Amino acid sequence: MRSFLLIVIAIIANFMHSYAQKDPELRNNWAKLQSGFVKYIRYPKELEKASIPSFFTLKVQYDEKAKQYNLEFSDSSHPLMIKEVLRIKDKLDFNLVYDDLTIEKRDIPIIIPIEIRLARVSKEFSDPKSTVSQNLYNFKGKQAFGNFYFYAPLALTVIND
Amino acid sequence: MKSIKFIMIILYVMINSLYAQDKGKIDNFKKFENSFLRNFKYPAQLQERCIPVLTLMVISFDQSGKINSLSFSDSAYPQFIQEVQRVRDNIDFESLYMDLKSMGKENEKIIIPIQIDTGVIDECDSGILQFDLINLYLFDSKPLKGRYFLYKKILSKIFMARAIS
Repeated sequence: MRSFLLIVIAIIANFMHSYAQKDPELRNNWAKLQSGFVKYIRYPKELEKASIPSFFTLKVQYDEKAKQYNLEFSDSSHPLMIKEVLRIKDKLDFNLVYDDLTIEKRDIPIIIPIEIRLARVSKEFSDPKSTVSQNLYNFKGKQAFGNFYFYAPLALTVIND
Repeated sequence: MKSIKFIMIILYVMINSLYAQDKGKIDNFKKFENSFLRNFKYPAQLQERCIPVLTLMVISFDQSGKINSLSFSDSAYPQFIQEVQRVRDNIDFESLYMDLKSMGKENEKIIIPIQIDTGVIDECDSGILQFDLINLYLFDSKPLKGRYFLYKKILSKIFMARAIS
């Protein structure tokens, strides 16, 4: 009786495992990360009122010793957005990125573009003097250079007045 | 006294060799960048309308140093891509390859961000739109994903002046 029960459990476990592999919804790690981002992020009111979108690069590096992810923000990020992303940092599961890319070693940092798109954009944002695009890969004045895992952007569209 | 002299000579040689290595790297990138900008003619259709170039160039080489694949993200206008294809053979990709080889990165997929601002003097000056930034990471509508070697960017301005009539 016991061995019969074990066999039944093994069959169910095997079925569930293969089902999880086949189901694109369960495999879609980016969608999970994106839905967490959209759920928790609150676009700073000051930026929304001023019609300033946010486009910057998040550099995510796994610290093996501390068993945690360290974040760096490119120079195109607004201080209010840095504060906001740091607020929700623990709610974003960056393990999903490595799972999605099927990477076991986590020594190479990930580059995730962050995009807060606005329905109405101020003229200043697209001004020729704007440095947003030039600073997309600059971190503390220095361009990121070397090997990275690039990942799909985390995006949010805000309908502002 | 002899040992001080000896140490000084060693220090001099070390500094010189470090400087030479650094200079060599910069020269290779500059050679590639200069040849790109020297051969590239800003498409008139884009320049007249003050449309800048903002894109990611992804390039890979084969074992012999020939270009395996060359593509641009969706934010690149067709006129820009056509122009690069036109002058492709005159661009010094060999210097880029040599630079990558000196770092042991010649087999990687390389990303070179490109931004070229443009305009017509006393008429208009280009600016980057939200639309350009949204398309920057897309290749055939799919987001860029995977391992890449992020290289230095090409950043320049190419302006046009109208002839006085």
